[in-house]
Amino acid sequence: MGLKELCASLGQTVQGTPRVEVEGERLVIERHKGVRAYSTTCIRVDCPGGEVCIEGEGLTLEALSRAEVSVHGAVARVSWKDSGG
Amino acid sequence: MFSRFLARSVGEVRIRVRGASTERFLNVCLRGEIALWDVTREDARTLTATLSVRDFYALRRLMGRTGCRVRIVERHGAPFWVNRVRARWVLGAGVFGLAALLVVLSQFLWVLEIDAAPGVPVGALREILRETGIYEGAYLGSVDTAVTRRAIQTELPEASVVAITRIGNAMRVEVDAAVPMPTKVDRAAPTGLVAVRDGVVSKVTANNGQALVKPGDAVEAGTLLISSAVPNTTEWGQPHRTHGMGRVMAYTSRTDELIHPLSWTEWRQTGQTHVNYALVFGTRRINLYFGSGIPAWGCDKIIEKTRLSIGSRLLLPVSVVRQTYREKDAVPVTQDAQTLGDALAEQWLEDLAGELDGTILESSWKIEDLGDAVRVRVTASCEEQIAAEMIDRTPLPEKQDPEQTE
Repeated sequence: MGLKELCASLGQTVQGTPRVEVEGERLVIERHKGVRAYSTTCIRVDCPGGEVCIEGEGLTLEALSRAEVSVHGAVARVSWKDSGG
Repeated sequence: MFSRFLARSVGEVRIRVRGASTERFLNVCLRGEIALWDVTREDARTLTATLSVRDFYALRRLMGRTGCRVRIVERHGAPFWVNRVRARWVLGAGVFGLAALLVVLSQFLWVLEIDAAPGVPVGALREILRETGIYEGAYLGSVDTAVTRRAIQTELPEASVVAITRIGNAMRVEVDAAVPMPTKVDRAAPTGLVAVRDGVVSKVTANNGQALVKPGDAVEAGTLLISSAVPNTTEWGQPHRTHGMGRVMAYTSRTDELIHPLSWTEWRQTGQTHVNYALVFGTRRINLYFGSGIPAWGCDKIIEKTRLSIGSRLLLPVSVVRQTYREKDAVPVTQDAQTLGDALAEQWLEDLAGELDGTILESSWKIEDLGDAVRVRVTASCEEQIAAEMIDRTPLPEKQDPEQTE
């Protein structure tokens, strides 16, 4: 493993893996790195190691802070895209 | 929910963000430790969000990096409300003054209700309440209900149970009357029963004493019916006196003559009403009408007084008086002698039945038309109780041999 890969894996361990929690029409993502895209039908949240893609209708960001992102709306699909790191 | 309420109270603003990269704006806020909520996309270039006032000031420092334009669309919370009200200091002073006045007024007694049982002198009761510091307008802090209760029970022998209840700035005083001792019958007193009216005896019940009449005897008013003098019943006994008690029923005749004019005037309501209002502040009255308020025509006056209050506990020293005047007219009434005579007789018989200790067996009446009046002679045959107690001074009978009398 090269130095770069070691740092990346260490960083991942320190930051922790993202956590997604769904409760009714509310979806909470903890340990994220920001919002890549935001629209009423698709929200992409950048997370360590990949991104979480939320698709649905009438999506709004109920709360947005360093600790978590809270999405409210009719969520149709939640998918994880690995960044390959 | 509570945290949202708190955030709104402390102060928050709703902003509209417009630019090519609104996601960049969101990430700049994240890196700047600025929390956003209720972020809503309006169109491809616009979104709205809510943040606290403190975070908004922090956002202003980061505006250059976002590449977006930010405009405030709504303001909520105490800082903005205070700013709006600050210019209207008279309003604030007025609200504060009213609150202070209510607090001061609530320290005094404004309503005193007295509920005294019959037999308890209300005037003397009010005097005692005033002497012990309970009256309308008194300072509630100086009222000692225990002292008042003792004073009432000491100075009013007619009072037995006293309850003083305070509700807000109203006080209710309830006084029950002491139960009077029933009059004792002195069985040794020489009392007999005499007839109060003429009649023919139908039934005699002598509980104590000696019956001197029997069914079928005609008696006049004043006749001794049951004597207190009782002869001896045994050979060794002695004649003695007792308290005569019992009932004597007799057939009696009651008559009366009634005279009434054939034409008279009656007051009847026309249906028209007139209402006046007045305000009473403590003992001072302010009429909300001109003059005496009494209409020129004859009328009945109904007065309703309503005490103003805030809720059920804070009574204000202000009452609204509503005076309703119902107009009435004098209407001449004329009746024929027969109709009027019948009505008078029936009313008389009804009154007699109410006061009689017995029953009416038969009744009849004769009507005489006097031209401008009617005369009715009513006669009622009754069976009623005619005995009444009276001191008996008849001499004691001589001693008898009981075997000889049987």
